[in-house]
Amino acid sequence: MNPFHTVAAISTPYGKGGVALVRVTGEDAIAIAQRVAERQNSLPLSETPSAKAVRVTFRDGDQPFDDGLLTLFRAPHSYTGEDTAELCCHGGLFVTQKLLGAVFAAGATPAGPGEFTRRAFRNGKLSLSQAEAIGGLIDAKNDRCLTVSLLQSKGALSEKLSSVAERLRFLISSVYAFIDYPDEDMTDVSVPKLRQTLQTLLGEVQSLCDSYAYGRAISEGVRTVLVGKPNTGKSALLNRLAGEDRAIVTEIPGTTRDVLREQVKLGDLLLNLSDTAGLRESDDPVERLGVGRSLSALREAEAVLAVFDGSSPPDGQDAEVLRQIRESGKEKQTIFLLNKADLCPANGAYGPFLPVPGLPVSAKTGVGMDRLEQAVREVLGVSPVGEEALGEVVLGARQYAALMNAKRHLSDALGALDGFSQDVAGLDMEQALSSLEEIDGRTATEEIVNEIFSRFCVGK
Amino acid sequence: MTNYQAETLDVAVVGAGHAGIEAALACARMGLRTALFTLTLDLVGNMPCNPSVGGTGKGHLVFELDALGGEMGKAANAVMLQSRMLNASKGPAVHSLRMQTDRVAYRAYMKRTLEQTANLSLVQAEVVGVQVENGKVCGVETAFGGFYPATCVVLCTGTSLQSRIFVGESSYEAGADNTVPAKRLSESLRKAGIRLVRFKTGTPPRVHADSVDFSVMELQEGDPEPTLFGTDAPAVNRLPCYVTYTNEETHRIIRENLHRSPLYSGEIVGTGPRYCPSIETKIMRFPDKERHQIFVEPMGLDTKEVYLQGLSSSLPEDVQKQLVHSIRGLEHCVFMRTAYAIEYDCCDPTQLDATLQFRTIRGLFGAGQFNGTSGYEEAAAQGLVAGINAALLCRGEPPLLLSRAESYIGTMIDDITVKGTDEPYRIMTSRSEYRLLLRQDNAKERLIGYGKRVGLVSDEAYQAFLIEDGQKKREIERLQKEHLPPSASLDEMLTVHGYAPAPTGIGKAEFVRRPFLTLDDLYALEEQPPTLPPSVRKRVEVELKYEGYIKRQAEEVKRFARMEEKRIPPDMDFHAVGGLRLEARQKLTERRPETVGKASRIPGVSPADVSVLLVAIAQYGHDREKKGENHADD
Repeated sequence: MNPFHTVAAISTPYGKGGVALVRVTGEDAIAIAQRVAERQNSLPLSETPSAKAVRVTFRDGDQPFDDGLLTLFRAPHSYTGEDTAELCCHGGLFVTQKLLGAVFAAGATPAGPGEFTRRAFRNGKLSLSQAEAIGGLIDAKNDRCLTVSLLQSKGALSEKLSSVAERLRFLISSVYAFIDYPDEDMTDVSVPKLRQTLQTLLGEVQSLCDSYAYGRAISEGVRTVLVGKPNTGKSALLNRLAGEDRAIVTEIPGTTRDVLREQVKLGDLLLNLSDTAGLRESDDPVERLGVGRSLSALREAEAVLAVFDGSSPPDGQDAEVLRQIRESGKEKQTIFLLNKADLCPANGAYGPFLPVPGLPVSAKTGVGMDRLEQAVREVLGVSPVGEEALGEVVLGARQYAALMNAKRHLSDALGALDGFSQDVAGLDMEQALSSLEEIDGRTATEEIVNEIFSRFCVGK
Repeated sequence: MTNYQAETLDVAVVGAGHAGIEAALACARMGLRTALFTLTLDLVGNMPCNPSVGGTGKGHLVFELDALGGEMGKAANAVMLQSRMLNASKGPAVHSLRMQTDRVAYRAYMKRTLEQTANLSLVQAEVVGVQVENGKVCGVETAFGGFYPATCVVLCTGTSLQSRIFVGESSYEAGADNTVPAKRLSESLRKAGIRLVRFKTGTPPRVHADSVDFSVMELQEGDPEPTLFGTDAPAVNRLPCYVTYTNEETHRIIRENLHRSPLYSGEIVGTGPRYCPSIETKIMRFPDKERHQIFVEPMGLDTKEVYLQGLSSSLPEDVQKQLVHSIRGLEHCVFMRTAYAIEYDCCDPTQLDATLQFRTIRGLFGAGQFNGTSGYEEAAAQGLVAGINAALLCRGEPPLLLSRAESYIGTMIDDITVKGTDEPYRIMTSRSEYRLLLRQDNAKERLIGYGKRVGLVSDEAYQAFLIEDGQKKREIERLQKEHLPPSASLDEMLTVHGYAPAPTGIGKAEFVRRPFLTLDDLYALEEQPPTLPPSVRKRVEVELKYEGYIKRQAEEVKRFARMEEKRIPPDMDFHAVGGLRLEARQKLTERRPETVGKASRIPGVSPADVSVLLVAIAQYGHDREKKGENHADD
């Protein structure tokens, strides 16, 4: 497939609306637009100035079907860096679909997910972290995430990373100036100083890594599992969180036989909740299957909501639930909820039973739900991020992986400075730098050489 | 003037500096009729700047050149005055050997060697023209009217092309050390379509040793156990160096006279190297630095001249004298040679391919300063590669291509031919991304096979290498297998170096891997340690100590190879690739990189361009297949 073929997609949300936008981009975008849109003043479309909306009539073959606006963006001055046409028609499923159909008939093919942004990156219009942030913008699931994405698309994370990378490059050039010019007296380069700067950088990379817990919690969501013996009100709790009747709530224990999944909002956090079949031994084969799935969901969880019936004392089944949590190694990630607090606000019997104090809640009335958010944050190690630092939250898994790599190489460099030698330390620092720059897709060696010359007085 | 037809050659080498010598020796030793042209036979192998060979990165080049069968290392070993291993405390990858050498003895050694080589004629004559027909070189023409038909020509013109010397307000046409400049060749090269640029370099004053007060300077001795390039043969330091410093008074003199420097008055247009700036440049660019180091280096055993490293300058002579006399120990020194700056023509090396042949002129090669580099070692290494490839071309054999991943020589050639350079290029350890693999100690392991293949390394030398290589492998295996039993002396050794005692003993390899312990420490504890040559012991120690890092770099080399192997179709039209930025299209069209790896290193080609290119290549292959299918249908 020609990578520059023209693609099109509806760029406004699906469904009913006042207006809708169909975006066409690629080498034939303008020609294709010309086939479906005719200027109302009969001027040829090719003479339309860039980035200026003009009135057009949309046609399917010879048949006009809507009036609208058309804006042309000529390469490279468009979002994707290619010729782009934006066709604005009246909203509503029918008209929009018809326009898209006409565009396809005129030669465009459907755009893949994220294709506009991918093209923008390929054409050098966006840095990788900007591209990812735009992806985040489109997918933004809540306001916080949207703010972070907006800040990042403006380059806040890029700036932060550049600042770290720049200082690292500075450090590397010190090491190499030291190595390449051994006879120069470089009073400004010393191993303790190098070590100190490395420590600082490591700290900054570490806090970027730490921000990912929050970044992921607000963008992708936290894998959260509801566990508890049957009929403690897990499904009611899920419904309370989701705000709708999602799970089937009955009085019959074991009603939930499969893992139900739901994404719910808790403050600005997203929880990817799995409601599991009650964790109990059962003879019913269908229920047993459900129990097996529940166990594997538990093992993969990042947060566990263990639900107990606070209106009655803990029994053997509850003890079994506790045992399973312990065995899965998730005790530290578990929040113990004493449900039905509306019936019994404080049940002393759970004090000695649970490893940490339980949190009284009521799925029915909503009592205690506000404290749940704080509890989840604590379990995840996510502290609230101030507005000013929001742009420095790492949202993407790739960014996180690159930062973790950088962190590892920086620690190695520190170790090498202590035990081995500067040639190895320099190499570790270079690897840290290339991990960091991977985030923005750049490379570094020549820049280091330049840095050496601009900063150090070396030579014969 | 009427031209006459002179002797027919396989290879004509133009210029007998460090590049020309290696090129000519390589071609002649590979059995080709070779002539080496020089402006003056008295300055074959001249060192117009530092009387030294090696240094950081440069030492690596000499070890590599030696492994390939070049001459520079042997010559330097023969005339060594002082040997120092630089960076001895900064890790084995950056250990760099630097030697002070007797520059007069060096010239004599090289001239003798050239004279004794079969198939090689030395010709004192100015080459004024290179004849090119149909994109192929046919020979060279001298100022005496001789036309020498040749299959290959290697240009090693150093700083001689259209050169001009500057000392303050005075300037005149001359090559280094006041040799005659080559004034006509540039024009001939331009006519052949070669793009020339103008570079600049400089050299410090030389003064009379008897007028220098060495007693107030710091003494810099050679290593207590001096070593040589590529051999374990014994060596002796003969003369020391000294260190002194500039001071505030020196800096004041320079600042007040800056307007009299052609560098600052705008008279010199050539681009100078950042890594060896003149003293005036250092003072202007680094005003905060209170003093600059000056090394006083001997020029030879039979001369009183000493070289003042660090005082390169283009200031007028009277200012030079003032500023030098303001330096401790040099107050009464007598000038013998004034510092000067020199401007010269050289080629833009992006016109060359990885064999150092002009991409558009078959048989025409360039090496050394002509290719925009600086330094004797850089020149010699390129001369060797250009010479070998010229000889291989004459023989109709495949070329010798050295990659970044296996040598500093390959790194340098890749840098200048792919990235290009806008100043005289110097090798540095920081230029290699694989420097833990490209060490001085394993140069033979990396490269001797190539030297053997092309015929520059003798069977005996190769056998000797194989024996040492076997010793190294067996010793590493032994250390990995054997265990050092617990003992009081072991515990003492460990605690002295800050490690916990080993009540159950310790694996011998593990012992050596500890950062603060050495192989010699181990041998001190062994009852019967093996007797191995120092170079083998060093390789054993380095390979054990850095095993993890070496493995990691080997992995990177594999990744690097994938991009290097991804070939760009030679007829690909970059202007037809949509999505490439204009700058990338132009650069790619101009340089025509053979591989995606090289394309990615061209300045102006962004990672986004590389991804576009990858897609386009896949697309290209796909179209080709389709066309092929269509043909099959016909």
